[in-house]
Amino acid sequence: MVVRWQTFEQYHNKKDIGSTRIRVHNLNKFWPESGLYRYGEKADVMIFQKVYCTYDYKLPAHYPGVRILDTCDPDWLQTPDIYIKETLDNVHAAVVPTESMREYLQGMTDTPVRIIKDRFVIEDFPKPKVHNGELKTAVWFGYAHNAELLQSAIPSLEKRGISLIVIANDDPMLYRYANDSVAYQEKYQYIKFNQDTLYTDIQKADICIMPKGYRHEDRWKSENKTVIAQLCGLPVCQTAEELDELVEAEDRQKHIDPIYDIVKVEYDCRKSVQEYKDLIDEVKS
Amino acid sequence: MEGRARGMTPEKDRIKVFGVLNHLGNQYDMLKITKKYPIKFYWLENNVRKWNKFSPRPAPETIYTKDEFEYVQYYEPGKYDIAMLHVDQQHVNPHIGKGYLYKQMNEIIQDIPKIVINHGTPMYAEMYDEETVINGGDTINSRGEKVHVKGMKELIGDNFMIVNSYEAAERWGWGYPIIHGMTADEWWDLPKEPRVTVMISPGGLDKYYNRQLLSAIKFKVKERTGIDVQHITVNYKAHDWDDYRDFLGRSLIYINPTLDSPMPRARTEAMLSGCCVLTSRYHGAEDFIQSGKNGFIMPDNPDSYAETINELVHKHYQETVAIGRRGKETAQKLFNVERYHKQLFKIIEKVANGQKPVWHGVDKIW
Repeated sequence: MVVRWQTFEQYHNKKDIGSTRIRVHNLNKFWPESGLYRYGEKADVMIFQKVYCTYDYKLPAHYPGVRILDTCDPDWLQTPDIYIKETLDNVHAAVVPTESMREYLQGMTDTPVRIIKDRFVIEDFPKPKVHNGELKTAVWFGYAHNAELLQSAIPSLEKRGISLIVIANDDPMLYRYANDSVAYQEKYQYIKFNQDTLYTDIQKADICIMPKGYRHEDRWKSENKTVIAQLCGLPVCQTAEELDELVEAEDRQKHIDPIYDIVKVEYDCRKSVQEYKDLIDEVKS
Repeated sequence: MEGRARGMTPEKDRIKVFGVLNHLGNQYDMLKITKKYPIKFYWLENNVRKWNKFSPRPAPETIYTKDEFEYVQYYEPGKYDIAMLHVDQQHVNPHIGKGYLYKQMNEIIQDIPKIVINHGTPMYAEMYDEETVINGGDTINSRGEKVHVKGMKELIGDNFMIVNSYEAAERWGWGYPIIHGMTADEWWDLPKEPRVTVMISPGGLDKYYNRQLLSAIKFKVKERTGIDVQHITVNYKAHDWDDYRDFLGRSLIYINPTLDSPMPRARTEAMLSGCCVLTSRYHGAEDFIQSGKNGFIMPDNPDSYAETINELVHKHYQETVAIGRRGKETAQKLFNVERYHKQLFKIIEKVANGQKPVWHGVDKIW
């Protein structure tokens, strides 16, 4: 059985897209029959990752064989020229990372919509961080355009004297949200996102902060960044109150150890490969 | 072959050509070959090159029967006789989307001969020197990293290469030139407005298209004559093909300052529309245009364009119309679709049979 992915990366001729890395490249490492689609190639199963029917592109609906749509972002919110409904109706199954997306998309089609979470190559992570000393540094990572979510968190960190590392494609200069932005700039460090060093960069901090999103698109977001931080051995906080409970190293270690044991099993991308295989078998039968 | 095939050949008796859309104007006229010769095209659906309801030519599925044309979703070994792919000099850039389309299809198709239509020349001055474009080599990217560029020779490999002008064959060092052809009565020669028009792609390959000269011409023409040069796709957006043909057909003068575009199609469209064409001399223009008779060969000088346009528009309107008419006759004779299809079919038939015709530099259409 030949399984091929037409990815968001290929469709838009981009490189190093997080969703393609997490939801495609990771899986292909453990799925010998699966690989990236080359133009003109014949496959038994085509998975279209964030590639939709448009007014002039119907391959997701026309491709012979099993057709699966993998969508992990609410692209329909801001991209008017994609036909999400038409794509859903013309594939054999759709796959999403979150229950909120599954519930919403299932409401508009009879095509089965299933959850396959964002998962990782566990072996790619360094050993989980061993916590020492008081909480001194927090980390946030992601696309710079999402960093505005930290606006209200900065004064809390400033008040507690906690430094902040921001790992992003661009510097969002978050120190500007501090009450004394000049002083807090001394405690602020920007690290350019680099997938090769991401995990060790995260481990430079004691804790990861991921404030709850308030934007419309945040309703659909997967927990992948939380899981990445946890696989690095860092507790993840959404609020200042949670942060206050993790000041001591012992508390942080006690918090993360049981979580780590769960996530390293639940978020192993081999589980996603098996879920895809089961789904394909189901569609074929 | 030509006689027995006319419009009636069932699919099974046709040469089956697997391919993909590339240059819309080129392929609009190419597909017409199926009405006269026993060829069927199968085009791969893809997201890089698409033909849709907004494209400035009617879509193939509205013109051709299932015996002549259809879209397919993948390549199936054993089903086709020959493949037809497309490149231009930008394909040597390892990061460009259309480059992936060619490279991946070229990898997938292994069991049949392949014709590659090279729409360009080795001029890609914004990225590489001509030696690199042809033969490949190492270059430094914007981040200061060393990058190996595959040249056109490596990209084409054993495939049979068609080029669009005689000079292009010389510049690349190989390739079989087939000069384009069009259906003359599809172009509208309408009463001429005192208008100066140009139709050159709005971006990319600046030196190849000579956009610096074009900008200077626009400025000088405005200064000398008060006329705004109408750049179709830039300051005049045609609504559809009919609007384009109407606008072009009513233009008294068409200018083509391109430096290296091999046989610009828009210039031929303008000639067939009865426009008086002022063109640069490259790629054989001097062989079919005689200044003052059926058009004008222009030096690469904006003042010359401005002065000539001023004379033609403001002092010699009727003579300019007459020059445009003679240019139209020239284009009807040289760039006719029957000659183009005859040459193309001959090549497709030979390459499908494993031959690789060589152009010896003498069999020119003029």
